[in-house]
Amino acid sequence: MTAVLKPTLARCLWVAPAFAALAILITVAARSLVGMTPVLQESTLLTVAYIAGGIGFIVGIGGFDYWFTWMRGGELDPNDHSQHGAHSWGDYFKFNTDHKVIGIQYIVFTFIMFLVGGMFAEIFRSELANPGQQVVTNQQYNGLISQHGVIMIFVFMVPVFAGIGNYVIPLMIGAADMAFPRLNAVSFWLLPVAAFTLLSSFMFGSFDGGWTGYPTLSEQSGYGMTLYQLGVQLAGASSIATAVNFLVTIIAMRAPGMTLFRMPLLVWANLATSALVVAATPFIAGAQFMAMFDREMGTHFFTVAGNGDTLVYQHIFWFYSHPAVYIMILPGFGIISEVIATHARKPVFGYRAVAFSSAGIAILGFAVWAHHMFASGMEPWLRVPIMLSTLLIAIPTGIKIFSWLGTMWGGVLRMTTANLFAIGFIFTFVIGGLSGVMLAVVPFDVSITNSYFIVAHFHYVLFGGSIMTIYAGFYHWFPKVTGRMYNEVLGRWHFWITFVAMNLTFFPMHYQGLEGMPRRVADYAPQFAWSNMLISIAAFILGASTLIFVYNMIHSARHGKKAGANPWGGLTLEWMLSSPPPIFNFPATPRVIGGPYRYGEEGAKHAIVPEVEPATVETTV
Amino acid sequence: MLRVVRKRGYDAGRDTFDSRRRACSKGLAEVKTIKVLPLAIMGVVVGIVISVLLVITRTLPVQASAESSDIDNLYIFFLGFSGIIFGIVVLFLLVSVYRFRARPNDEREGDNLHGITWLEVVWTVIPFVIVVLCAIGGLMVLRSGDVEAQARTKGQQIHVLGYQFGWKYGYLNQDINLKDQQTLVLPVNEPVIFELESQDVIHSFWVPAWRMQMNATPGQVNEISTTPTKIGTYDIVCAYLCGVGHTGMNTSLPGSIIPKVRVVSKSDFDAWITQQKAAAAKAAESATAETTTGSAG
Amino acid sequence: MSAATDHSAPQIQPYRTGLRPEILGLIIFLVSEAALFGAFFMYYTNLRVLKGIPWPGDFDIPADSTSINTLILVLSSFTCEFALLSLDRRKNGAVFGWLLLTFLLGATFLGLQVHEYMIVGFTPADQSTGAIFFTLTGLHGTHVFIGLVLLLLGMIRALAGRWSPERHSGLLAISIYWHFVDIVWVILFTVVYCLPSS
Repeated sequence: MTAVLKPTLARCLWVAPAFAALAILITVAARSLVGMTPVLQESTLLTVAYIAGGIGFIVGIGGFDYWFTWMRGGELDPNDHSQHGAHSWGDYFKFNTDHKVIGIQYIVFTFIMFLVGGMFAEIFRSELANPGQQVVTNQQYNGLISQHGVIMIFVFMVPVFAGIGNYVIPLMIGAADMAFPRLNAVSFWLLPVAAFTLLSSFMFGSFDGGWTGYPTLSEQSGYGMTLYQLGVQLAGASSIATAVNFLVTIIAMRAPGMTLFRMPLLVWANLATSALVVAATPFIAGAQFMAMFDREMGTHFFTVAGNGDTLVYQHIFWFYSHPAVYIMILPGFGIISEVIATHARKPVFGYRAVAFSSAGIAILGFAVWAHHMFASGMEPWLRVPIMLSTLLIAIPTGIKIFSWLGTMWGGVLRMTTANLFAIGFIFTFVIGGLSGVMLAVVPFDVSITNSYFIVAHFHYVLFGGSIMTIYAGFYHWFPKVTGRMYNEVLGRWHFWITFVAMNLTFFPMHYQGLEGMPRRVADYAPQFAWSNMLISIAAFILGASTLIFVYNMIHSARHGKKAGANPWGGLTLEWMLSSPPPIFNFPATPRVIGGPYRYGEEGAKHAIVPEVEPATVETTV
Repeated sequence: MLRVVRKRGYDAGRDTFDSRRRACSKGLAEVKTIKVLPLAIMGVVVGIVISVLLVITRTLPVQASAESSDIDNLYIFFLGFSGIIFGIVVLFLLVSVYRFRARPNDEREGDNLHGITWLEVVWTVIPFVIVVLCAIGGLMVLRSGDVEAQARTKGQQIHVLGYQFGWKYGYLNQDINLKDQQTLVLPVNEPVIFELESQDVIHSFWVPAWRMQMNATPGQVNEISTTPTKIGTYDIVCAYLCGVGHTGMNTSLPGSIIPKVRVVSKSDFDAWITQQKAAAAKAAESATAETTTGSAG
Repeated sequence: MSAATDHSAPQIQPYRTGLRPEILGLIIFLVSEAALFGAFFMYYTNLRVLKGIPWPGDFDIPADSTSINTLILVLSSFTCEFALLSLDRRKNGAVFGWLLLTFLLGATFLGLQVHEYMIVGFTPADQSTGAIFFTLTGLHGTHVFIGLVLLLLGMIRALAGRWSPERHSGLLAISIYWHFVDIVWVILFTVVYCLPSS
């Protein structure tokens, strides 16, 4: 019973609604006092309630307890670690400051969101399987595809990498935790708030503008659209807070001896990604803020009647959303570097080139946003420079692919599931990347933009790219996180079914787009019937393959064979700790004495931790 | 000499940290026994086969505008280099997996190779050359002819109004305005400039056969031009999500009430224009007649 | 080391930068805030500079009178710096005084801005220019308000004698934030009030 008074989810159940109710009360009271109509627009009150309720949720879970104590001048004990570390499974449902706990919270929550977003896809794929309308109405369909995109991007793809990074990076750099553990926990708990905001929009007819939410359609839509705009801002806030944390942690908390060029490439990747998040995410917050004001406060940012400019939303939106796609792939590139090097027993080929290419992609990523707008009616002179910069960004990406091939060549490839996903990633990501190079060229792009060719391209780079890297990372670090080995046989089944189904689902879409099938439609011309049926069947198989993965993870976490500290023989710091690691990670500050990929070099060590046997390479020749 | 050691390594079941590895000087030798260059050439050959397959299986709408063939040729060029790059990547992937696969209980290490600078330069320069070729190809197609100016002086200027959910056309140079859902008719081999507007939300005027697409954005006029080169009827697809009726705003759907665009011979077009003008004049007459009767009555 | 019962603090890591992590974190956060303003500046520049849409009615933006606001805010940045300097010289009373002066100057700025809102003659719902004017200045004003709250907290802690030259990162953070607010205002004033639109 005391649970409802202590900082727990139970407490949120009454604190969040209380905040929401209070906010409505204050708004109505203030308006009456000043002499305005108390309730002019219900949707505005609802919006205020959602915002306050979200803050209330964070208060309820205990996110601000420490700060409230500080503000009222209360006694603070810097050695109070009661909110740190997983002592029981219940800790995963509480406000916990341990980066390992937060990492797992992120991973589990975002994966559940992945399944939810995937389920939306299965529903609309079942509508698309046959021509005509069978399963959902057009309005419901538009809601489903919009939710699919938003959930996948904002509450799965962007935060899952934050979760993996959260768990692994402090370990990799020899730190005891992240720089701001409490902020880290708040970042995580903002995600359920964002997800709730987005998903509860179904009660209001969902939002129907795609994940892009362009005006002036956004101004016509039902209340669900406001919740989309709010949810995106919440997810963005979570993302920015995490990025600040990562940047300070990576810059300031590396173990002695870990120069920039002795950092594992996952750390480089997260460094570049976090810089992107900090500089770009506020732009989508601004765009959604303005769009929300148009809806709820009667402003005219994007309306025609009020001399507004509809097109500028697209510029501001894509100024974030293009870096967003790099945010969704760069950490994945880092994971692939780790996985291939470790499972091929070889140093990453061209380490510096791969590191610099991450930075290059991050910087160039700001100069290409308008390639999403070639057919938008923007100023014509902008098209050619954007075409050139977009083509240029293919170069650092290509360098990475070739470097990974070079890493595998001459190695000793352990065909573990992690490695299978890394290899499969190269296959599918190259396809996505090549279609991207095609799309950079303006006349070609304009002939098939907004068609299924685009859908094919981004699913190849997001599923065949990011998701493959996520699976590779999950399998690679599963033994470290759980202390047990996953089932390799199930892993292989998962890989092969996913790989084949993914290609069968998304490759035909290239052809559909070229032949003239637009995107975001619930019905199509008869010529597309057989390909849509094929795609829908493959999509169902793809969805089913995820269940193999879920079963493997849950079952192996409880009954898998115990893994030692270093089942893969990795050289980076996380493999020098027990599986799972102790709560405060390292017994003493590690000292880094070499690069992270010194495989094949006799007697090589990356780092030394006092009191722990180092990972090393020995020769017997 | 490689000493086979007791079971250790990645199926280790111990609690203590234990990860000593055996480096193998044989690794370097193995790298050299497979000549990389012949493999790269084989990759190019495999890639060419893939490119040919992709080109043969390409399914594109009919080429009905002057730009269509240029854009399709650009696409074939894309398929060409894509197939080759993909072929090289896949071949190296498969050969690596086959040749460098770890055997059971394999304790060897890979070759301690951190990079080969000249190779890294090569695989930076070649993609750079390819993207430069793409840029050149794109620029060439973009600048092919000054269609817009020609359309204004000796072609057709069409006003296109997008709305939820259909298109309404006006011939700016003929002073004819069509009604809702009335067919757009154009003469073959004459440049056309479309001035796109929307009265509500963003739509997109896409004619796949012309390889032409441009948004109709509320509050501004977007222009796009083309020269239809083939007589026939072509689908118009709204390619931007515009609300509940977006799915239906596609002339290729069976039972669509939105008419496709018709390209006819010059003489047929002139006849059709005369017809439209006559109908418009008649409508104006009866309207004036009504007004006069009305004011008099 | 048993994970279940270990509550001991870990070894303190040596930090690599001269900046304390909290200050580095604040600066990075301020980069994101700058980007947030950037989004609105992007809208403003497109609307007024590139497209030349005029203000509602015959509104003439009061660059002259608002320049006084600018002066006040810039002055408050100086007083904030003096507070930091006083702390270094251990003159705790002066810290409170300078912070109070900063607070009063900031509050005056905010008050003058609110007054300006009341006399402009249009509302945020009046056209796109009305919307961006109020949003951009309002976003800044919100940041000023938060700064005032922080200054208040700083004054409370100064009175309680919590600051010292060794423990001054809180005051440093407040002053960095306040300088940020000032810099954004100078840019905003230049772009919105001073730049003639095409």
